[in-house]
Amino acid sequence: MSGTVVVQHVSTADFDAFVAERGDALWRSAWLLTGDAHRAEDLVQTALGKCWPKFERVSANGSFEAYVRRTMFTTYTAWWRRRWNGEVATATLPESATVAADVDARTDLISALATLPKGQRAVVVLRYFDDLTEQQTADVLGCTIGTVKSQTARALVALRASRALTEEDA
Amino acid sequence: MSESELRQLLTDAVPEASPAGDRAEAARTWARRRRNRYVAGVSMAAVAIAIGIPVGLAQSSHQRVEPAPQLKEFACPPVQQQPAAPQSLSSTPGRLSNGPIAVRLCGSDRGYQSPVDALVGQAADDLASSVRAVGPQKPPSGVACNLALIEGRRLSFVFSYPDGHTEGVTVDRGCPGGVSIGNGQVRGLAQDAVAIFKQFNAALLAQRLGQQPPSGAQTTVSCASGDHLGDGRSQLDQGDVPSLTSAVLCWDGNLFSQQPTQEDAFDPQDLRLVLDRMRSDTSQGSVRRDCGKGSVNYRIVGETAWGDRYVLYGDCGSFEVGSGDDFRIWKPQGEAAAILAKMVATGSTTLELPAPATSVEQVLFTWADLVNAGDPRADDLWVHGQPSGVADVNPVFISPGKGDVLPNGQRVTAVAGYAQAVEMDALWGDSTATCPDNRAKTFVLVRQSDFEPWRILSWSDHGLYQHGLGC
Repeated sequence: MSGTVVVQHVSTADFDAFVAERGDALWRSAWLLTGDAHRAEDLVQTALGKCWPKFERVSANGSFEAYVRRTMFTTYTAWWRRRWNGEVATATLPESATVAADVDARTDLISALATLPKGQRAVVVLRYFDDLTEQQTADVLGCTIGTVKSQTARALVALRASRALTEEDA
Repeated sequence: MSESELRQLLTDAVPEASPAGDRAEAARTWARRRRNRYVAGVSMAAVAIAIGIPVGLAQSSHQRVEPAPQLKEFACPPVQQQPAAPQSLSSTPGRLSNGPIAVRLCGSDRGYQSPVDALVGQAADDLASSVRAVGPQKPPSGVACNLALIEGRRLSFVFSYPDGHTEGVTVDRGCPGGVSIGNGQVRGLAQDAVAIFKQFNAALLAQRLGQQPPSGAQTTVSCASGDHLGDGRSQLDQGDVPSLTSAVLCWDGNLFSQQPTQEDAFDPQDLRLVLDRMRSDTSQGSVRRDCGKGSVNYRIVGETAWGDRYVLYGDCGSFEVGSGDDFRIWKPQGEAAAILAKMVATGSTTLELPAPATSVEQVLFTWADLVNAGDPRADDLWVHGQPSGVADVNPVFISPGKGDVLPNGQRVTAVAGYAQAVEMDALWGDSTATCPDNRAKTFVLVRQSDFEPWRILSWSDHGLYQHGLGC
């Protein structure tokens, strides 16, 4: 009995440590997906909440972070399908200490990302922000490498043609 | 913009995470709540019955002796343009009068369809009392959003009084949420808003016991009918698998598909069978879904006899039932699977190639033949971008999309003799190559009017597409 209690404590501490170490990184990916600080927080916490009951088992078998990321992306796509959680355009970004140029750049990037289909947006975030390989990206999204390649290419074409980013570059 | 520039742009643009409090503890709390919601959901009907007795509804045998005030017709106010704004209602901000005789649930979304019936009698007054009892809002400490967003969005209630006037209350189950009387100061948090909604929900279901739905309660549902529900799933919470009396099956392809949602109406008998199986054949615990190539995302959008709308989600072909520690999953099998498959087969406009294709070129040439033959099935392949029967190739048709005609100024000499011309790229990944590994063809399609089929004037093969991906 006492052994069970100890395992529980170790598990909780490990989970706390994981969240403390990786929580912000997960939030940044979530922000690129949602374009909104609150929704990003909700997305991260929902994913963590879903994964917490499986923490011990998944940690013992492999990377818990990969598991959380996959859950986060599947939750993101599930929210998208549930229409009501669609993105709401906002001109207000939450960081008060940000200079105007940064805000403009963020707004432009979010505007450009918002024009992409959800899957392409996810591919861009996974490949170019989270630096996952094509295979890892395919694993997270539950698709083939071929799909990752073609959708990445298509997303790049769209981003290069994006008026928001083009004007920013100019 | 190169790939490295995109990486830098993403890195530079992402803000620092706001102080998020104890995310780990919040996650554990969320997991516990989720378990509790499941337990609560299973006993929903029993709760409704239990609440129905003390609230002394107008239709029950516990009616008060004095004659009930005459209920005047009242309706939900018109909804503002999105994003939703607080309802404009004729109440004093922050103050909700005693003694309402009825209350109606309204939405804050233009497409929201309110329940056909109002909650009447003492239960309406009880709800008003609960609203008044909500304390001042205390900003949530620590976590910025308490995972309340998943509960749904803003709703409103309109209370009706004996003299015919109405007063409004907005409940926001979002983040941080709260309750607002007549556009007054927000009080409480999301959990208070959820509690108000649950009280109304349970009392209305109890009121309906023994009643017949009014004639004309049901409407014609379509896939779009499910786009405007308060929480994305239902107008009222009536358990995991509600008793839908009419519904449509909606389906679309995977995350990357450009395929529009397709739908087909259920035969009533088939609908009953599918819902029965969904109730009885769920799997507890984790069930791995097959979200790979060819998987279908289902939604069942339907109405109960009272006209309450629901959406049942079947991502990757498996339906979510309940919201316990793990989702219970219903993977259609046997008769139910056959019904869904038949509906998709008969309702789908997916292009089946004459023979299984083994290369992208074969797909494109087949498509080109269909275009030039004026075969309308070519449109399907164009829209879907993922023809069936093709192994591990992913042609992607990129803009200009169908209907986006090149403006005159961009016409090239070869197409000058046509009223309309479209240049379209087919881009696909070749998973067998190493680097670079994407290929493209460009097609020029022409026609003289909107009433003619497109035909391919020319195409060019760009060979390998120089993105440097995978290098």
